[in-house]
Amino acid sequence: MSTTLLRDVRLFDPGAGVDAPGRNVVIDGDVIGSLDASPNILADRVVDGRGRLLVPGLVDLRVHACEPGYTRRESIATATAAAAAGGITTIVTLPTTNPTVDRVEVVELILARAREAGTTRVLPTGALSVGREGTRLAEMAKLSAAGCVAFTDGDRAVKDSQLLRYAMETAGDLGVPIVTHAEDESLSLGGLMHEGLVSTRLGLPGAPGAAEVVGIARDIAIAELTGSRLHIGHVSTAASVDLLRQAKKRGIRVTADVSPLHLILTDEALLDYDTSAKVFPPLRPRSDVEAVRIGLADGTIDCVASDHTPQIEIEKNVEMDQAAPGAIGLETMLPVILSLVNDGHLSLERAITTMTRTPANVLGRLDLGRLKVGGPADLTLIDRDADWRFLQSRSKTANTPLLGRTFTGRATLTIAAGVVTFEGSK
Amino acid sequence: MGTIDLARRHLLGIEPLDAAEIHLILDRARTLRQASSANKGPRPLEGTSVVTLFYEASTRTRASFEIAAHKLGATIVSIASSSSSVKKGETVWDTGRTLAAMEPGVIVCRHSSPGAPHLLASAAESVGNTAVVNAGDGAHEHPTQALLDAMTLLDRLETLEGRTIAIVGDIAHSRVARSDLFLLSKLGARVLLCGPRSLVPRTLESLGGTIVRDVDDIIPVADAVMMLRVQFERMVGPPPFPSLGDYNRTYGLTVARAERMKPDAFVMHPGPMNRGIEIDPEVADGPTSVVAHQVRNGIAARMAVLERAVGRGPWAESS
Repeated sequence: MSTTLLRDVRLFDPGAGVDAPGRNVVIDGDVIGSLDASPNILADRVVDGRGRLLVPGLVDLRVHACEPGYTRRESIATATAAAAAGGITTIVTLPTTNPTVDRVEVVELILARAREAGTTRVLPTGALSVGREGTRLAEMAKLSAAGCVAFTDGDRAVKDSQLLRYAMETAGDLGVPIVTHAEDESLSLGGLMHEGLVSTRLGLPGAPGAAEVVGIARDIAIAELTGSRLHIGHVSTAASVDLLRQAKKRGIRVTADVSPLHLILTDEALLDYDTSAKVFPPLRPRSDVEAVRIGLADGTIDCVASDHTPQIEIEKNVEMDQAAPGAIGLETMLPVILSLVNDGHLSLERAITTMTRTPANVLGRLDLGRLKVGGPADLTLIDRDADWRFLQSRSKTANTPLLGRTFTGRATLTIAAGVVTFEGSK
Repeated sequence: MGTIDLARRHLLGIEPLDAAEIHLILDRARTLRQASSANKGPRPLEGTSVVTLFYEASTRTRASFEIAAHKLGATIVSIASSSSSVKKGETVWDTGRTLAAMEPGVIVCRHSSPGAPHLLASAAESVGNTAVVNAGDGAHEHPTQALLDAMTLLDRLETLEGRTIAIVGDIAHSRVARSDLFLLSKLGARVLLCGPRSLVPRTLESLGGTIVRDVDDIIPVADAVMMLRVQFERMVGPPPFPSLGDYNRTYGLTVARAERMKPDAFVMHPGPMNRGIEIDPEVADGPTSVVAHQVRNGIAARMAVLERAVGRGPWAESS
């Protein structure tokens, strides 16, 4: 069994109350051997941590990995490579594949591809409904046994409230969460961006924030009715945050994530008809951005998830109504969240927790997202002072309004299951 | 080719222009109107070509641009999306690059998607020096319509400073309303916007107008009343109001309403008109209507815009 010594790191696992500089960490095979070793012990490999932050490997709840079916956009191999470069050691893939993840063979294919790709953990979500068509439930027990960690129809809202109720009850029996995209699609029909001042100026049809709020209110009501665990993906409005806050206060088992873009960009990013800023849900005005930041800081929003959505160039370099929505985000999630820390919007403790412990908890994976002797050796070393520019993506595509942006802070070493999956130049 | 840079020769909208540039275009349009009616107009586009690339159906705008180009001496290349490579799945980007590589003087573009002329302009800039003129992009802008509207208003009112112009109807889906709103505000007019909440959202006030919900409040105070068609083709989902009859009752410029207009006030409409819905036929054809005058001014306004796009006339010398 190979051993690695990470010498002189600042051990940082805020969920466990750990902030310890000058530590030496030993990795034994694929598990953590020691979090407080002597700097001089013998190891097959020694890495000088230079006092940098060592955090639990990041867990990303929302990744469109596009395989099988859309491998022009992305594959499990490229998605995990991009994830590793972003300090992420676990990705949760969405069933936005072709075929969708509504039968065991597709789960097996994804897991096989993941094994071939390396040690980054790939946790597939299964389709909530057959074909993600919203009419009858997918075989959740079989899919769960095959490895699905949650069920969702991806970027489609579940229109039929009774179906969502049954899905939540079934998932509750299986002990896994339902993940929803909350939206009243009749209210957002035809919308290409957020309905507001900017859409009025650009003459683009808008989708009001209320479309998301109506969806969230309904989904929360069904979570309360069933008592099952609900996770709401990519929330983006102030009113959504208010609803979540009330629901949590009342003890409803609901969690939520937000994408990095919705924490730093407003709908003004579309002012030049920039299709790279056409994302889903749409970028919102300043007041919503501020509200989701506060919601993330105070724990109303539990996690950050990249919502990594690759689209190839010809899907973006077209008219706004033709352009496919979405942006890649695996490599920029940690840097964006660190920028919020640098700007005083978020504590470092909260920032790291929202990308490690809380997303692992959403999945009920109490082994992931924390540093524990004997636990998986999923570790990310962060250089908070690195000034760098995001110029090239490890994804197959480069669709993000953050391309070319400069950041301070990034992952410089990523270890998944004891294996180095990314190592920065410095 | 022109001496001013390409970015300033495109006409993608009224919003980026300042009042001085608008006046320059309007002055030139009036000069060209006079010269062309005396049949001794200059032919500054001799030897260049104007491509009209229309992805969306149009009668008056295309004819107006082509007549304007013809009067300036340009060769006209007319492309409709139904009879071109667009049908074969070519993107706007590729079409723009292909056309610009042939080095025409101007590409005039009409498209149902807001921002499409901007995309076309980027594509053209990537291969050459051809300017793009927006002939209407979805619900965004229709700059030459606003210019011809301003000419028409100024022919009657002399100045827009302090004048009250009412725009009534489906403003949410109207590129004409947006361009007019930008232009009229820049030239000092007070713009009143009127229509149902579903077609005149509050956010429109951020573009410069003031919303008045009751049409009967604005009729007696407006120096000019511009009526707009309801653009069902840009809507999805259920109709935004109960019926056309209901709409006509609340917002239509009926004979009775037209009689309450100020003595010298007049009625405008960018067309196409839906008689009996937003405007009664008697009003559309009546003495207060300047619709035909608007159409005539359209030729001159577009001549000035085409000249500017190739950097000729008053735009040859400026920096």
